[in-house]
Amino acid sequence: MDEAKFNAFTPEEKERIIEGIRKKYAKVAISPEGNFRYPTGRAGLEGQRYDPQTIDSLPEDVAASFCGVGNPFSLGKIHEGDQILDIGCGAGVDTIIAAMMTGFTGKAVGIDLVPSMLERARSNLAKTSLNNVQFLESSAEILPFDNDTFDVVISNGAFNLIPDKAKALHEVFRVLKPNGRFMIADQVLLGESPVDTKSMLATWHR
Amino acid sequence: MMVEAGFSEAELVSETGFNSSPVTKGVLLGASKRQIIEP
Repeated sequence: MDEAKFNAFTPEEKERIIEGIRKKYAKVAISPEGNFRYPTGRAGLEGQRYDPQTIDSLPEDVAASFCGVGNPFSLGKIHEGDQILDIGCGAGVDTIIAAMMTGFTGKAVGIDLVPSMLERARSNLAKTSLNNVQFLESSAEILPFDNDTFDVVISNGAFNLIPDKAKALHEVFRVLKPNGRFMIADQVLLGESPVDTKSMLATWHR
Repeated sequence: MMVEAGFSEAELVSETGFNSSPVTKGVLLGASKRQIIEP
């Protein structure tokens, strides 16, 4: 991957990417159904082999808003008391599951760029009895947290949308505690990336 | 890119089977922030 090419967007091009993300995910916030080529909602959770008891414990509206591309929790255990950050949390399904896993002595924080998705995440949270969850509007490129804050950073289908991935990865590394883990499910591009910026921007959300 | 950010044990673990387009593939990736032990 040509890292320099991906980091060379002008502020206007970055704004176009972010506007495109907000436009697409404003629809997803209402319902992910029909907006993706893979199963969403409960079928998506089951397809990615999330723990059946966990799925059953989710309020139906929460499960219905799942649009992840994988199961980041399959990469490692969340321990009681862990501090967890969910990058690009969307409707907050994984953030809520992380909070259930870490228990009341831990905390899960979800960040997202899309106000309508955060609104859905807060609505989803209100349907649970959890009080160890926080949702914030933030870019992954400038995380509003101190160094060494989190035991685990997760992300599900969001990192591919970040314009400056190298910067975001440095931020994830910074906010992780020593021995902290980054567990990510995402889309990778097969073959060559588009040769010019115009084509790259046109296909950013695929 | 992960290694350049400082991560160790960065690996592509498996495919998820959920692909958002014909030219993208869902994958699971893991990495860790190794603790630096001062001598």
